[in-house]
Amino acid sequence: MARSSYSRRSNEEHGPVFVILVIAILLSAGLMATQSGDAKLRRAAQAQSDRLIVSPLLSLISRPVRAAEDFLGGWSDRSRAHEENLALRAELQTLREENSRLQVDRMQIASLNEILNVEIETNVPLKRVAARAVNDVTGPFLRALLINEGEGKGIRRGQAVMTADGMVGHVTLTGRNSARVLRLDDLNSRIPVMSERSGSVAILSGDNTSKPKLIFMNLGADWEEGDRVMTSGDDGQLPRGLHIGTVSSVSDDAIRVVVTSFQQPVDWVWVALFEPFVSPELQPVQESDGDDANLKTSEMPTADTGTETGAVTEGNESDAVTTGEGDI
Amino acid sequence: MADWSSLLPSSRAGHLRQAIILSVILTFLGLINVTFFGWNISLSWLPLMAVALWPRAATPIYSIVALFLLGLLQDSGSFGVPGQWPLIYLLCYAFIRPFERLKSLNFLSGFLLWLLSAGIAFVVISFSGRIIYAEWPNWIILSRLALTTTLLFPLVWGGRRWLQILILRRDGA
Repeated sequence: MARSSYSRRSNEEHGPVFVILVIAILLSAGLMATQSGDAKLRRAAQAQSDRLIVSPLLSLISRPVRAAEDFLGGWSDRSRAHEENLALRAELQTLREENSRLQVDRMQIASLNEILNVEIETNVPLKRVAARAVNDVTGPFLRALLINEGEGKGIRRGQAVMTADGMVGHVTLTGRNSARVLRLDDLNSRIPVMSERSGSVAILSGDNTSKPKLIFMNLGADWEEGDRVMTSGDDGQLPRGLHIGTVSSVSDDAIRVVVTSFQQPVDWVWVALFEPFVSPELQPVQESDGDDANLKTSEMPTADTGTETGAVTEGNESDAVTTGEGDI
Repeated sequence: MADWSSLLPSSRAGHLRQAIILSVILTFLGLINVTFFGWNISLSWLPLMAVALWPRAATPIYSIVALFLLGLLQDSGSFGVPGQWPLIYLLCYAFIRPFERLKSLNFLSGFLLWLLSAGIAFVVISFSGRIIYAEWPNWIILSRLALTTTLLFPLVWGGRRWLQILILRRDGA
């Protein structure tokens, strides 16, 4: 803009405006400095905003956008359907054979467990809540989702969020009817993971690229390209065994992981209602409780087996759909 | 040459109202993320366009307050750090100083102001992010945000004009 198109009014005339402008700029900078990170005010304001404005409004206005996406996506899907059908038939044949072998293995393990008197169980929760990702925020520093279910359905901070393809991220903020999800590729995301093949553990660290990297690996850790990566559950906050993706490259600089759930647009998700382990400091045993208290602690369940009404209900093969009787 | 300071207060309020309404609409439109063929297209910079095209007749002090609040709304909706978008909006306002402009904006000058605002946003987001997260931003995403919003400039320009006529005519200004 040429300066000639601007007035040359004196500073006296606009003096108060500039003073207020400077104060407002300083206020903004101060707010940014104090409210970064995990400040309570920020979290409370965002939860309120999500609950009252953002989540309901986005659910409404994203419908035509979703419809357009589905329509356009449908064309490309149809063209791939025939090829996929052939591949799936072949895969189904293989999986049937694999399933038969696994059934036999399962019976053997069960009988061995009985002989050895040990109890081995997975802690992947079967209780899940389905939700729709109404907004996928991809910014220069941020990869997050907004889902349209919250505390009202038992969703809590820290719980894993999944798609049919694998884990997407974990809940960082909950409102009554909405929740924010930090995706695995966000800068602040750190998830303990393990290799399904070798059992090596590491931390999956988001770095704002499409392929998060593994950090804090042991010396001599065994990671190879193609290794399936899943949660290790070492932090006690996430269940063990949730599928994440596969190792795409191993180099001296970094080991990168392709997150399977990011290969498709994230739409429907489900939240695994996992109860994290409580540290002993937060759950002290009263002396008067004596043996009873110790017994309770040792018998603390590690898995939920209920299924939320109206939610995605893919339990294991023996679990029928039940109405919500969860303890959350 | 028209001087906005001679305008009736009701007319000045109408200009301010138009700018605020446009900003709020663009803020909510900017929250939508569209994924086409695997590409995530975000329009979160859209409301910045309303700031770049802020009317010269809007009362400066009310404008500053409005920009601060609109920035907080944008932060809240985009899950950003509170203060970042108010800072960007106010710095753009300070650079552009619409209250000192003598002429109405035409399409070209409006577009140049948008480019200036986008540049300011680019710098502020980069450095504030560097301070807060100790990382530089993802340049590809940042550039894509600026580019996709720039492509929508003619639409926003038209929408602003339509809103201006609608509100100012209703106010009888």
